[in-house]
Amino acid sequence: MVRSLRWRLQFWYACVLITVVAGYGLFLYFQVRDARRKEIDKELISAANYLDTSLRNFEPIPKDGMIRKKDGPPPKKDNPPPPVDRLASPNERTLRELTPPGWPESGGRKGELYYVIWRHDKSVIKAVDIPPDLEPPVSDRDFGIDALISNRREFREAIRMGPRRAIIVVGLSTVHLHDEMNRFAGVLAISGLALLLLGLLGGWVFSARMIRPVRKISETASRISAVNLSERIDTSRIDKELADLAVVLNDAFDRLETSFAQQARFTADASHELRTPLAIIKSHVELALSRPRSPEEYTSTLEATGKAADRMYSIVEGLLTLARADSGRLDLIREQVNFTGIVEECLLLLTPLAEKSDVRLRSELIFAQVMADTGALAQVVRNLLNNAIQYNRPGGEAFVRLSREVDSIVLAIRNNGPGIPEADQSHIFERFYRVDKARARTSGGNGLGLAICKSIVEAMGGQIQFTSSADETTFTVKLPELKTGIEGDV
Amino acid sequence: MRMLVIEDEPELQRVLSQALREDGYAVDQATDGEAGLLKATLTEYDGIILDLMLPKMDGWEVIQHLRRKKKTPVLVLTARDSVSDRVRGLDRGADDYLTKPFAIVELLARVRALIRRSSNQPSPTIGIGEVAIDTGAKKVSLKGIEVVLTAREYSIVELLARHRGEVVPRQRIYEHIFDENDDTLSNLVEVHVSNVRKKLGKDFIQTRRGLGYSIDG
Repeated sequence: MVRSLRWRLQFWYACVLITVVAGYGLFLYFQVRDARRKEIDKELISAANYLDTSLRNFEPIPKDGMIRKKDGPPPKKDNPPPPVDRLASPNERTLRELTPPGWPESGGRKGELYYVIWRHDKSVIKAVDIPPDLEPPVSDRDFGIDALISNRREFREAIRMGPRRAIIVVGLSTVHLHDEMNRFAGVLAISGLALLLLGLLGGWVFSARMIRPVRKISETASRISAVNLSERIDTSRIDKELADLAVVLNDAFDRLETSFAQQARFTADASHELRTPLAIIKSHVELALSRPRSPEEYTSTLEATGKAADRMYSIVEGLLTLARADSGRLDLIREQVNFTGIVEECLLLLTPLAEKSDVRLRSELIFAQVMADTGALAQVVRNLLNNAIQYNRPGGEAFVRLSREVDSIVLAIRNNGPGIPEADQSHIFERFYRVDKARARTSGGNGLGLAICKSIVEAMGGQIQFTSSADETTFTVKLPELKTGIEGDV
Repeated sequence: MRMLVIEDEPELQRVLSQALREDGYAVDQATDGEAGLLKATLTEYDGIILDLMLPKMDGWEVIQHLRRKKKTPVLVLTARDSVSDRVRGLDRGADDYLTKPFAIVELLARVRALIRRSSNQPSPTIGIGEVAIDTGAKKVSLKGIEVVLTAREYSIVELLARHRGEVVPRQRIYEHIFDENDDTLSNLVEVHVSNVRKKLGKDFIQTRRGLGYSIDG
């Protein structure tokens, strides 16, 4: 079967419709046929009963030639028999009048209805339109005074016993009934078929309407590309079930658009950051070449371009690190690392900078080991410590503390700087985000340090956080502790 | 010609100022938006070079505030190069736009063009009698023969030529040829003017006593 929702729907719809229409049609057909039969049977029985009653009321022929009706109930079986057997030789008139009411002796239903009355000795009292092969029954044990209905070939007959064991048979050819029922079946079949077609057509149209939002959704989705991310599915005219899907898709598109916008902004920022040192190099070189210069001037130009190149290098390196972290290819070595040693080394390395910036370095360290990449971890510590010195106030303190929490080692670096404004706090780990542009320019920061720290720490299974107040900022790095001797050979 | 460079990147500030000075401009410096706006408001500059990403007050704001008081031509210098950035800068009152990295020669040419346009002198050459001033090459000739002027002498000639028929006060000339770091005596202006007279003719520059100097049209 075709893997199409619409066709499947249509298929089941057709199945159900056919079952219902056919079932109802058959039910109707049989109901009508039975009703017709009962009607006929009633007619036949009443005719047979009428004939019986008429026979019982036969009177001897009076002299004036009139039949005198006998009043009262018909004579009972055990009553003494009447003196004359009127059935033996009824006169012509009596016989002529022996016709059920409403039965034409000839006319519309001639050839359809017939009846016959036999005496007990199988001689005919009266026979009207009987089929040629109608024979009196051999035995009268099979029926009584209650009329019995039976089918004989295409005929339906009522048979009963009359007075003096006469046999009354009233019959009807069912050929007409058959024809009538066949016509009825034809009408039923045609109207059922029409109903079926109408239903299927309606179903097809309806399913098309149901499928339309799906098509709309898929069209919108296909229009959305990297260039045009602003399209959204219109959920106002979609049924609830599909609207849920559309909402989910719209949310996904929103996230996609945001991430693309972030990406675009990041690229713009990166190019902006690279343009400034590039401008320095270019303009310095151009100026130096514009006329002959003294050796001191050339030296100063080369120094300036060298510094700008260093700055570009650090930006490019930072971007590379972040790109690797983004694609999960930071390639960090996980080894047993002496965290305390790394912190001490960084403190030593940054002492000259601290002295130059008039910042006091203080530390409180425990011995701690973690599973980490030595170089990357040192980069994080150096970066945070460098920030703590750069963004401190003159005469302030950078306090480094290494401590142990439940299952982790916590490095806290606190400075007495002016604090991070609340508006900037949620952006602090974003790439190229700077709280104060001027400070970053002169201190040589490239706006990537904290973003890189975050990437590295998270890649090592740790967490980086910060708290900041008006005159104090603390960055904390939490790394899972390596417990030697407990786990044995790890 | 006196210029103001508002740029927070120290190396770029240095190279811009040096290039302008070597081209004969007196140059003032500012490293943040607030200081830049203050200087731009207080002094009559011939042009301002403005970076957009500045501490304290960004370049957009500097332009916006400056335009309420001054018509000084502003050349915006920035690393942001999207069309919307440029449109925003120009719409706020910047006169020209240059993206980093830039060529120094282009920057200088744009500065010259800015100054020319701001003094309603779209042609780079100004002719006054037998004297012709080529503001592009910063050269002056008398009767078709080039006359060598010092940078300051040229500045005075160009300033007066641009304000032909107007009396330019001595203080204005002083401010025009010396930058904020110079601490010379204002009578140096007279020395320069008399030197110009020697080179271009006694009547080229008139003295209006107690008012200043002028070149008649």
